[in-house]
Amino acid sequence: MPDLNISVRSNDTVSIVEPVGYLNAHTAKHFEDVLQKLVDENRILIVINCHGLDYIASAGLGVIMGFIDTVRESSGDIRLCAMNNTVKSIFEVLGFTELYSIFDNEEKAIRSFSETA
Amino acid sequence: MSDMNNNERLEVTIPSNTRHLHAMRVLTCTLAESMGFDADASQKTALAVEEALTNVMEHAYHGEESHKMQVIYELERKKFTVRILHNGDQVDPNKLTNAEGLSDFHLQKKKGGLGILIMKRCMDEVSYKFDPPMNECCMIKYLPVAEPAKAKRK
Repeated sequence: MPDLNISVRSNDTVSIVEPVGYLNAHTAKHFEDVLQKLVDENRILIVINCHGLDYIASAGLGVIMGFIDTVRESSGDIRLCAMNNTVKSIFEVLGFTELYSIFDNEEKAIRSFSETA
Repeated sequence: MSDMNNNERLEVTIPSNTRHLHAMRVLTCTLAESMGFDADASQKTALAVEEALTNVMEHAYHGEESHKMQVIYELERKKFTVRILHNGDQVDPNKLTNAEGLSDFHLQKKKGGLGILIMKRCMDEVSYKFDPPMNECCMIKYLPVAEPAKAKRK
């Protein structure tokens, strides 16, 4: 099994990033490159669909933190959805759940952008 | 092995290469589960070990992949100890971060040290020993004490 596969889909306004595998110090650079490309293209409304994410370590969390700060400065945001219990537990341990918008599924995460527009 | 009577000790030596992190995570999680930790506690223990190893690779060996790290697991009846030894530069956790929560990281606009915070939050004890040329990070997780079964009402 590959360490991490990432697919990206975009509609008119929102880009959906789907990391499949695990996100740690070994794979974080790949994840960072994908998000950087979106930001470079000024696609700053981003949903990270975590349904295929086995686990996340600080290297991956650091990438998300950094890009959330970046896109929020331009009135964008990164929203997360569909976490398994392992990933959710880490987000809770660190208090991510209070600072970031996390949804049960992709549809709700995408819809949240139009609700807050 | 959930009812362990004998202490066990395992030693693993790995190169300082991030591609081994996943394997160490799987091993740590498997050992924790074998001691009777639940899935959540086992995953958190495995994550703490992964973060400690990542810190050694980044801050003690500065990304150089030609070095070694020794991981010692000590499995006792109610206590899981993981020692990580290396002979790289000293990793002083206080220099990496003084943040106590995620909001501190945002205020300080820094990402480094997030792993230290994860280790503290996921383990019961985290300590460091600097004894050149070897440095050690020691982490301990205790099995929760089972609550006595409530007496049935008549």
